Amino acid sequence: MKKGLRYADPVPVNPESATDESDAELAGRVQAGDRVAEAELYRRLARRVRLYGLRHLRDPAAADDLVQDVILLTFDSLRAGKVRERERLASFVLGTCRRVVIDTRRGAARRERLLEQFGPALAPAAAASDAKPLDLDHLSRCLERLPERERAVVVLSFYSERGSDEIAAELGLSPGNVRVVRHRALTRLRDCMGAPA
Amino acid sequence: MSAPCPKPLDTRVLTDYWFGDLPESEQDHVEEHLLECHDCSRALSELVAIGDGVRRLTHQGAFPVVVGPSYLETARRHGLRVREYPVPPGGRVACTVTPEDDLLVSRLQGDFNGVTRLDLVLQTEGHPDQRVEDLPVNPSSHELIVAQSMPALRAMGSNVIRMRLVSPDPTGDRLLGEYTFAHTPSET
Repeated sequence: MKKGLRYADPVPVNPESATDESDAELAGRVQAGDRVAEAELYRRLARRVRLYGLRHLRDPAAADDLVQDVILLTFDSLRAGKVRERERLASFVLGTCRRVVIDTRRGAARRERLLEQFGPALAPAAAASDAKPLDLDHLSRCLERLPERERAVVVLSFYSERGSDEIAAELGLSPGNVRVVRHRALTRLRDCMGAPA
Repeated sequence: MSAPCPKPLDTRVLTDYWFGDLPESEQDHVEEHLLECHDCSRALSELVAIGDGVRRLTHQGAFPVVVGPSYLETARRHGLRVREYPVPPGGRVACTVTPEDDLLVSRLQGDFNGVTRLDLVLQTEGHPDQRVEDLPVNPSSHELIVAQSMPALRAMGSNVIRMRLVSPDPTGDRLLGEYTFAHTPSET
């Protein structure tokens, strides 16, 4: 693939929840077969599970697949009454994420079977439809305003996807210093992006 | 709207989590929290979106930046064509950028042993000197790799650019190397 950049995909930033209900309350309604609650809980969980997927799989397509698998399994378990502590839904979802990531890495094909079982009721588009577009021109100006070593650390972190130890070796810094510089740079970038372009 | 987070995760924790720099026990706690917290997952999403933008802009060579060998490895893995100009201290090169080039790096060679602070003084004909302070460099690498801004290079006419690497000390600047780039635009 010429000039491909695999890990480049927007992450939904600010989905608005349509209800004041807690995740546990929604889970209770899902267990009772409430489709409206399903849609709302899906909207909440999709972004969070996708972040988990991006963190562990570093691939947007695989993260999208993870969202489908994990939420379908979670809803399946809720409907079957297998989630005993709905107040600890996050713990259940985390355990499911971990199992599915292991399966993904083994090349398991659970998705097709579950989609076949539940049909298109849970569309993947909901996970990405509320992504806020990033102003790249503005970000570029913010990057140019960073001190040199902060810009270098940010680039090697996100583009080269190197850990703090490797970046430290490349730039003649200590790993602890890389983490401090990285945090400072990201705080500056976030503040700069929040300011008018 | 779900309830506001009573114990928001610190940005430093979110950043360290994203880059795998948290202890495993703390990572478990953070992951469970992120799966139930709207505010903290949104904060992490914002950082990830910025990271995605950094990746895209770096891929385009949108801004100048000091890099390391991993940058070149990544660019080549993505199929990018990288033009490189290695220059020894006192060296002069004729350089250009063609439409086929995706990125361009200057590899400024030198002896950086014992250097605690490195500045770059940029002299371009017709422009005032520009000083770029406190560049990161690995003293044992014997070169400073600078990825140049592709939009700026493509817009540049024929010009001579002098780069001087200096190490400031109490008595003034110690010159580590001077590098001359005679740039001509691509004919195509």
